[in-house]
Amino acid sequence: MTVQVQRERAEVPWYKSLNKIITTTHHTHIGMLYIAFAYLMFIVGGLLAALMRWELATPTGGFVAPELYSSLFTVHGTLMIFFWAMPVFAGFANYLLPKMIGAPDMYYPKLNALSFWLLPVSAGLLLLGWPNVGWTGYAPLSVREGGVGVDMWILSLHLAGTSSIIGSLNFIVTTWRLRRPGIGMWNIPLFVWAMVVTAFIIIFAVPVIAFALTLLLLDRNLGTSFYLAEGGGDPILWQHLFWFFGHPEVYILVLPAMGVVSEMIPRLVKKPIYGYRPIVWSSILIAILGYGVWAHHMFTTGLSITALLPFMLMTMSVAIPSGVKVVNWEATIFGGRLRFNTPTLFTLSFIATFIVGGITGVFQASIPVDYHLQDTYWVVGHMHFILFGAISQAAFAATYYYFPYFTKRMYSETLGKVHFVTANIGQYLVFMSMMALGLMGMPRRYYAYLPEFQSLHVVATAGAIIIGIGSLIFILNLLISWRIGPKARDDPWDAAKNNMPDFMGEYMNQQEASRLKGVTQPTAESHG
Amino acid sequence: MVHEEAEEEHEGSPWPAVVGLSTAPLITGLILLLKGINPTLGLGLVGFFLVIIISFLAREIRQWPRVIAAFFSRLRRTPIPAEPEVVSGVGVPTTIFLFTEVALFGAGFASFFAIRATFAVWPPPGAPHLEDFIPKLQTLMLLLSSLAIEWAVYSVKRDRRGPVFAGVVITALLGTGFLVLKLGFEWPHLWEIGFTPDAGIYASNFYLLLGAHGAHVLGGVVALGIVASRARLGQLTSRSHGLLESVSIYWHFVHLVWLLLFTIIYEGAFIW
Repeated sequence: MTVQVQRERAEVPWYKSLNKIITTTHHTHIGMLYIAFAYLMFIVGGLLAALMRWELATPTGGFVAPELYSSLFTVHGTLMIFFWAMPVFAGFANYLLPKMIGAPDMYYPKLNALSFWLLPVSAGLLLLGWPNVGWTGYAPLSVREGGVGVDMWILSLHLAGTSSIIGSLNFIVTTWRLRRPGIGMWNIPLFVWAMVVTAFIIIFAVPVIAFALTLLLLDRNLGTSFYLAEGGGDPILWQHLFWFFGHPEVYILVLPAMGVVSEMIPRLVKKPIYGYRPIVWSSILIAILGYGVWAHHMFTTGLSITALLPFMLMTMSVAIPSGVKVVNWEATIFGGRLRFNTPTLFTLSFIATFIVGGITGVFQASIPVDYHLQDTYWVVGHMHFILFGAISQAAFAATYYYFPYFTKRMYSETLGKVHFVTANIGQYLVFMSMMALGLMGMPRRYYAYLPEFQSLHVVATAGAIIIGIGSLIFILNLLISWRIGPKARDDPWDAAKNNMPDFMGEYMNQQEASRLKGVTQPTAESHG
Repeated sequence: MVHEEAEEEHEGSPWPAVVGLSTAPLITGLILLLKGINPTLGLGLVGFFLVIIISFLAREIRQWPRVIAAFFSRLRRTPIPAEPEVVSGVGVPTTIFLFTEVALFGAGFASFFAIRATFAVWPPPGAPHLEDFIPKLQTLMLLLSSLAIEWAVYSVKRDRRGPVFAGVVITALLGTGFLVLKLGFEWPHLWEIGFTPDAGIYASNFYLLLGAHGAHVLGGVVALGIVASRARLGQLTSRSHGLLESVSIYWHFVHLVWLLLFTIIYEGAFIW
């Protein structure tokens, strides 16, 4: 039916007119803008990572200056978290959420557009500010650092935080008010559940980082001393506030990825999801536990063991709801009809890498183990397994899966599989080497290192090059297929045919509309 | 297909992009101001952003009924139940907004106590004794303002136009008085005796928490001004007064924060 409508109306698509891009408030357009912006930032952040890896291929350094290296990892970290992983899922949520609950648009269309348009400014501030204090911005370094770079970083995060609070408000209110009848609490799609839980995490976590950043701004510019010990302040306070936001932030990133995977798996294996309610409850439990684990980033700051023990236990217990999800996905796949297309492959590699990244996190949660691993490459490897291996690969899977809906065309399956192979071989080369290096004692954030670490660093750099080539193929695949790919079918994954339509609410709306119109009009399925 | 139809009828607006992108001059201006590079240009850029956002809000408020009507006419063609007939009570959006405020002030109080806990004596030696006459007066004013806004809510449910307007205006005036007392009398005095934000952590905390609260009072006064103008236009009735109730619950929240600050900073400084 989509094909038919397009044939009848040969007008210019919205994304080819700058005027429409700027003035649009429609949720599908905003969603695609978000995703396009996120992929642009993914390329920029990836280039920064490539420069870092090239620098680390030799132990003596010399390719980039030490200050530039500090800026590279700072901007790479901030960019990938706030301008790749968050916007890409905000984009999917914008596109999918109203369709899934049968709403015509988001509840606040203009605020929705505003929350997108804050992002280019804030990403620009980050790139122009070019800070060099690490993405965690630990005090007192971040207070003492001269220049305007750190101030621009602070204000950039303020803007990005404003954008995500506005977006979260919109997601919650849209889900609350604009569900069509028949989409109740216990049958709304799991992605919508995941986005609502994520939105609640954002609502409680982002004001805290905004507060912490404001204190940092005051310390830097107005002579206060909240984070300076000599003025009576407490540098550890920054870490408490930062990680009270920072750890829930991990779940802000991973829950949408889990949600979109929970949507895709049943449709890809043509089998209903196993354990809907356990998946929902595990999301809620992860959100709640996520607020009680922040001090596991601070085991070596000299806090008392009595204070740290609960954090260790809470951190380990996060493995339980995460495990519940993994078991549910695997039970869904078990006995299903696996199709080895690109989204399926990336979904499977999401689960596999999530297990690797998750289990290494449980090791690290143990206080004595953390004493050895704190600030080593082990931590870098662990978090990249989650952030690239799991979260980004879920985003890739979702991009492939929903590409036919976004562009009405199919991507190239061959190039998609090449991307899958390069991304997975590359990530194990990079991040496994990093973990091994960390166990051997290589500290993070060093631009030059002892010669005995070189072989593993070279392996990691080779892996990074493989990932880079794969990502380039991926982006080219998307862009070329958008122009000349074969026309997609209306129901590209046979989801509606298997009684699991991709957009439940919209499907129900169509069914009802065609029922009301009676026999005079052909129904949606007759073209499928 | 529902999606295609919706796309056709949706009405775009350049304002979100304009407001979003004009945060670039805002931040540039703030940095010029904070770093003292070029304060005049900085103020100009911040002012430019304020002009943009005020003209956007003014336009939005004027168009409000039309925008809402357009949205619900789109909704009426779907099976989703449109807005209930009576718009009252504290809605989900306000509740979520209050959650962010709770998180913000929660972080503020938690930081205060985290720093407080590192000191054996509080206030630290050398800090001036804070006079509590003005804060007591401010507490009384906020108490009266909370009663006034409840009077307005009580009256709007019974469609008494005059008392609604009076209640909102009295609340806004008491809020303004609160700010005048703080900025016009208390702080200049403290400033004179050298109790400035950079005079140690005690002063920093004092100005941070009270400043954040004062900013919220200011925001409340602005919101009350909008409510008052709508009350005057007769837009608040017993069937539609969600805005008034939302602002009233926000006002009570700001009042609650003040009571905590008053207790912790002025009255209980030696105990806690």
